[in-house]
Amino acid sequence: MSSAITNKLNIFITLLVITAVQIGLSYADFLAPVGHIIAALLLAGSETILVGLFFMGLKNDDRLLRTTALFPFVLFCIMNGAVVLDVLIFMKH
Amino acid sequence: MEHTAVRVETEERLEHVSFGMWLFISSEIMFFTPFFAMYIIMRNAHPELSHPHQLNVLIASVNTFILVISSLFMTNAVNASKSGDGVKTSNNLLFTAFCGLAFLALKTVEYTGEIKEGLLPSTNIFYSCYYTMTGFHGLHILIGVVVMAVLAWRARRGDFTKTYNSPIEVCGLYWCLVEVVWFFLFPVLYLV
Repeated sequence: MSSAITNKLNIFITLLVITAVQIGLSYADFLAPVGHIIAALLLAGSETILVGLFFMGLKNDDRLLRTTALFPFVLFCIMNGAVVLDVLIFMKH
Repeated sequence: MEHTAVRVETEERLEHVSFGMWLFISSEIMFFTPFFAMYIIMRNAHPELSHPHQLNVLIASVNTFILVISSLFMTNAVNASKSGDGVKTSNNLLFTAFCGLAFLALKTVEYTGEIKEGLLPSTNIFYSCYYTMTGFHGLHILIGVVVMAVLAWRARRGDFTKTYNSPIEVCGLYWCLVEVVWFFLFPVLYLV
């Protein structure tokens, strides 16, 4: 088996493991509801990084494409980060 | 005498096509981003409307598995198109399209169960968010399936060569986008 196929299979298995962790974490009761959402978003983010780098080929693309790909994710983090922060502040009061 | 025109793509054109597709993907991510913000705000405002695992987690988990498998077929199709193997490209695209159809079939089963229980978009704001987010995602899957079916037919016809395969490549990027959106929808809607 070529190293490229082995690499893709490894990513495939990692994605399934992360999904299994997400499902397992959802049954854990040691996290607050907002903690569950943050953990879910972080795990989904790590899956996105793997798909982006290895399946979408960003690992080998030039800087312009990487920046173009990164830009909406930065906006996603700012928008949803601000909302989560707002929820946390709301819960404190 | 019959001449067969072999389409050759310059490096510059390929870069423009990729860049255009990445801009489209960026706009799609920005399209889905407010849905997640809206959902988090809704969850906080109405915690009584939703609780973890109230939707069908089993079907959603199988759908996650199907999408991850389909992305493997899609990367195989892209690699096959780069080596000029039309039949292999076509077969892998058809496998990917089949995975997309399986996803939509399971989603239909899930929707049917919910509708039978009277859980409609008008039931409450949680179900409005749920149907909107998964509905738009399903629409993207359907578009991907149609595009892949057309590309599979073209690949079998021999339209793509080692020097011209950008449609398969951008279709691969689109399919990964659909997968990435599901990576966020699955835990946020079904698990937490």
